[in-house]
Amino acid sequence: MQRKVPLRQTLTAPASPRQATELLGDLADLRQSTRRSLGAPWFPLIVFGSLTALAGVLVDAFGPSVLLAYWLLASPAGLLAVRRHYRARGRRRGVTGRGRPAWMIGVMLSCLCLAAGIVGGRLGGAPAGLLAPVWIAVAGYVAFGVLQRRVAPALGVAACAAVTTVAAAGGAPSWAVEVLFGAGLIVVGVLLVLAGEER
Amino acid sequence: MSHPSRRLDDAVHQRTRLGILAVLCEGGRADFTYLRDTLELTDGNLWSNLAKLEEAGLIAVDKDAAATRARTWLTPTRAGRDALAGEIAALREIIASVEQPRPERGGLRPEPI
Repeated sequence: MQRKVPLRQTLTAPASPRQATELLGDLADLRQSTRRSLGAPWFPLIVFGSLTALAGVLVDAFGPSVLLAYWLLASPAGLLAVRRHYRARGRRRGVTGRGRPAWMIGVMLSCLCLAAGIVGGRLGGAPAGLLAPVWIAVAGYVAFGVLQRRVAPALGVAACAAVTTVAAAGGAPSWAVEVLFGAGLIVVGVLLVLAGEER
Repeated sequence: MSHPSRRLDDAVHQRTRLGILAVLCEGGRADFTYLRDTLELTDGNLWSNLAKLEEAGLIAVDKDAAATRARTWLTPTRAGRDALAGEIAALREIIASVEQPRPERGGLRPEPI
């Protein structure tokens, strides 16, 4: 819901410290209100969480060799779905986030995850091939967090990555590691919605 | 050194224009209706301030005629983002200027009466 934040009609140049403090406070309220209108990035978490969980199911059925072909198709599809969602939401709400930098981070993140999966798999075997993209995803969400000034999604994804790493180190099968991380991303997305970060 | 208030940009230093830039810079772009409702302005007031910001090269105005109803989207330019950052820095300096303790004059103490 859009909040109205009227600015006080106080400022005349040169500004006094009291007027400057009031104006900075009003600007902070306005920025917070705009951030709230933009909402939390729950949608990419749900989309890529679902795609990751589906990857786990495919690994269980066909083995890890299916992952490269799967992600070559799933990554662009996921990115396009996210872009379409945010464009539609921007039109609906009348305000959008910084689309171009976010889109660039998303594309770069997808490419790096793919590369990390291939290189990690070759150098460190299946566990490294699964975990390298997971931690690249954490770095990507930190970058999104800096761009959007939101720490919660990055913390949530980092917690998922930590749990996934512990499971992989404990000898969990590849498909279970994928499903666990994917389910974790979905849970973080749902929690952001439930916490009122998204209205 | 000049007082921080001397560095306030005339094109930006007005509460409505500062508010417009704050909203636009926090997001990527916003439409006319969103700005008008958020800032609680009349159409005329918002238009006149947008015109001044556009004239100063601080925002770009884009009319989307392809939409089912015509919409006007506003985007901050690089100069607009810099101007807002400069304005906020100047306001913070104004506040800091009174929060800093005043230097003692030559270490002299007032003489007892």
